Amino acid sequence: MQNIPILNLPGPEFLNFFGLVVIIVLAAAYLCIRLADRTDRRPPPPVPQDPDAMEVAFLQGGVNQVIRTLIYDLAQRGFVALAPEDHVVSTEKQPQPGELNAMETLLLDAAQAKPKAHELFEVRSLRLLLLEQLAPVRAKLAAEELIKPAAVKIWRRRAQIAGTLIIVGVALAKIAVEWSKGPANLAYLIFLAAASVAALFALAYVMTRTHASRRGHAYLEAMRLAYGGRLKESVAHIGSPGPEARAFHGAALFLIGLYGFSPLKGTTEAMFAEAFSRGSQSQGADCGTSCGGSCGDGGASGGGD
Amino acid sequence: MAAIDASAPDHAAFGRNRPDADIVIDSKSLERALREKPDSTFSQRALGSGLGYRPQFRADLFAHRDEVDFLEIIADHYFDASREKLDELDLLKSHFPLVAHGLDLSIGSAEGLDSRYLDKIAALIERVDPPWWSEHLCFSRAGGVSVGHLASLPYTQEAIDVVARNVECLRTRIKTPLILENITCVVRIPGNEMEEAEFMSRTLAATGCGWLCDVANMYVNARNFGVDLEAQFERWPWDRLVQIHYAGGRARNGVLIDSHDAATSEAVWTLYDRVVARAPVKAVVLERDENIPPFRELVDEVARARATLVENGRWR
Repeated sequence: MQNIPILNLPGPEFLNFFGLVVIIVLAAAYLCIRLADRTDRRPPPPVPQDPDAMEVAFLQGGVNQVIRTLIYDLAQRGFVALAPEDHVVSTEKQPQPGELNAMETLLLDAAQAKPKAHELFEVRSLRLLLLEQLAPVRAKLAAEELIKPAAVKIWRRRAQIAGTLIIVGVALAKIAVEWSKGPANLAYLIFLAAASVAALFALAYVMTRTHASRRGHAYLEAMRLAYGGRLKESVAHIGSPGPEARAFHGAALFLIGLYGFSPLKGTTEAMFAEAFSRGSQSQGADCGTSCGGSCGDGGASGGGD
Repeated sequence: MAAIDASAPDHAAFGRNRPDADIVIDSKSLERALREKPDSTFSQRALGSGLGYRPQFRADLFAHRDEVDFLEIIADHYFDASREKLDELDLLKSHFPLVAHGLDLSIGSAEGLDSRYLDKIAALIERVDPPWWSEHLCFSRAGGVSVGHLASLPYTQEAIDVVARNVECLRTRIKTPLILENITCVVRIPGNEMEEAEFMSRTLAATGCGWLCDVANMYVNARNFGVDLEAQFERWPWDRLVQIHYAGGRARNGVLIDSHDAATSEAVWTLYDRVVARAPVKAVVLERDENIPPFRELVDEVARARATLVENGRWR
């Protein structure tokens, strides 16, 4: 290795070369992951006339968004409520036989333990059961190329491994050459290599953290554009007396799946936004880079969405 | 619709090509173009019963998509449009057949067409790629000043010549067929040489354009000016009919106003039914701009209009 001229460059010049390598690696990783999802070659399917709330929620944010949507719906219907310190609790209202579907029953059962909002995202058994129920939805979305293809996950892994090997390999080669010459100050190179690898993993995470494919994103965007006006109407009904107070009931529930709880901020139902926002934050903190992605699996392991 | 100040427009403007006109063509090329004009340029398929698109009911429209056969967009609403408006246009285009309807081309301006406006509408038509597009047979600019209103042309041969010249200029930029709409008149311009029906027929013959028959406007003019619609009926250019507009309006001080703010009246429906039975129309559009009711009411009107099309074999 001592015969390789680049490895014998003086410190600053080598760092320039190293920076160039890192940029090329990051660009190559970006292209690999980006080109693995070419679903946007086809235009998105037509916006549905009667969007299915679970389908929209699953596409928008995997199992976490399905949980949010179900909890909100159960709360609208009086089966659960938000208690202090973000606890989700069941109420005294009991469902009539057949009133709740399987997923709603799962969530209502989970609420018996009075979990904190974010804890609902962390119950692995609940997630797996929900995913089981969502299998037809997932199959339908996959058939329409609306969720990220498996190739994205494969290429993300390849990009991470290959990129890490290149960055660490070049750094180690330089370290070996310098050590063979005697003591040297290589702390900055080591720091730069670690930061570059972290940047590579962060890039891969950001590019794959969402559940929807590029075609799926276009589909969701079209749905937002088509139905955005309805969101404003529904939010305006929150807090009004009478049945209209259930602003996202029935056919409007998909708006919660589509937009999440953020539109509730500033309304009398802002506590959903706050409780589940705190939940998402703590979830994300635990998650690190290993959970990136749903990549089509709906976030069985807990999606950082 | 605001009342027009009859003294404001310069009527003499219709009599000549002004030196400051944006586009002027010579008489030889005009004559050649008129000779070459096809009898009918509207072989496109029928579009059915549609709706004039307004953003206020966008969500309801998508939720009832299969009850509206096509949309008519206001072209001017998408000039110099924001990214969101263009996205909206693309969304509409990907879900509905579209036709475009212009407001401010001022096809009857003797000074010629506004080249900036022409650029904008040409770009819009290219983006939407409709089977045809429409404008009002009127003027809305004179002497470089916007009237802010669709003002009636004098029913004279000079006005027809002006429109023909302008349409010919237009065709150098926009190949998509143009259809012209009859408007409501607040005042009749003095010096008319013919009735409105004949003016429309001769203008369409001179330009080769199709006709967008606004039955509400036809009814309003007949009522306000005491025209016997029955006696005039066969004088309208039915062989050039492409599209129909219908709408509701209101009466103020005994004058009917085509205000697009109410349900279509029975009288207009009667006329609509007669027109559809008379001529092979390809598309009909409900216009509603104000007092927009629950969307179900609009869809019911669209369905009512469609039923007449189907009864007369104009639509499947």
